Amino acid sequence: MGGSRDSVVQGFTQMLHFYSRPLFGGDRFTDPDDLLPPVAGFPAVGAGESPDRAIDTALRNVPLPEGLMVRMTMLAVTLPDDATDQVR
Amino acid sequence: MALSRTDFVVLIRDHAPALFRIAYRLVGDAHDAEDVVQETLRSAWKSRDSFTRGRGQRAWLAAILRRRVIDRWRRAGKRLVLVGDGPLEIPVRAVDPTTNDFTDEMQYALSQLPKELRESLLLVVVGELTHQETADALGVPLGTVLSRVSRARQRLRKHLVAMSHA
Repeated sequence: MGGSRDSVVQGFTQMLHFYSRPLFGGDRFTDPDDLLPPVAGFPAVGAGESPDRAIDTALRNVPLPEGLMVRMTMLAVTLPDDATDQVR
Repeated sequence: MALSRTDFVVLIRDHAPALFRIAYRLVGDAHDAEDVVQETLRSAWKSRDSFTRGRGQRAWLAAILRRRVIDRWRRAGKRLVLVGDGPLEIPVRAVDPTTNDFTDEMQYALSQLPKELRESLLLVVVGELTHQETADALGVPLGTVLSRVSRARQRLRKHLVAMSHA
């Protein structure tokens, strides 16, 4: 990515504007009222965290339905032994 | 050597959460995602005799899951109509399962990506497959996956910024 680090930082801090604490250790956003509301499902970027890392975190941020693992395990133990792609 | 049932239960414990998350990001609905995961696991169980130990288990499962999602989309693109003595399949315009009922802005932003970018990104980021495993699962060169993931992230950033200003 080209440009000075300051311009890159400024660009990303403007993009990820919904955080209530300064990004990259700066004091640009010290008043939470200056910030726009958070984008749902998009977690805060930690200090020093890149926007790409924040996107990755948000993509993985999918809560599992209650009981999912129980249902999947029950499926595993109840699948018939003779279920196979092989012709016997 | 085929997977034993015990191995299969361990496999589910280790990989079902990631499979669900990939499925959810692909189809956009929790119930549909769980159905896809169940179909994936049934298919995996049926294919257990051909499972190769040492091969990436998650990559194997993710490849199966991807095929189940494609099957589901194709089924959604057809409507059965009873004509005469039997059913007749009428092709209808397939509805991209990711374009309806967005539960969050990320899901909407994902839907704006071309399918090939979305798939590559989700397999690498949500599935935590290596880029090579993703390339193998999709049947494309490694460089193609690297490019797609990079472009997908760039486009997501743009979409999310645009949405935040809307």
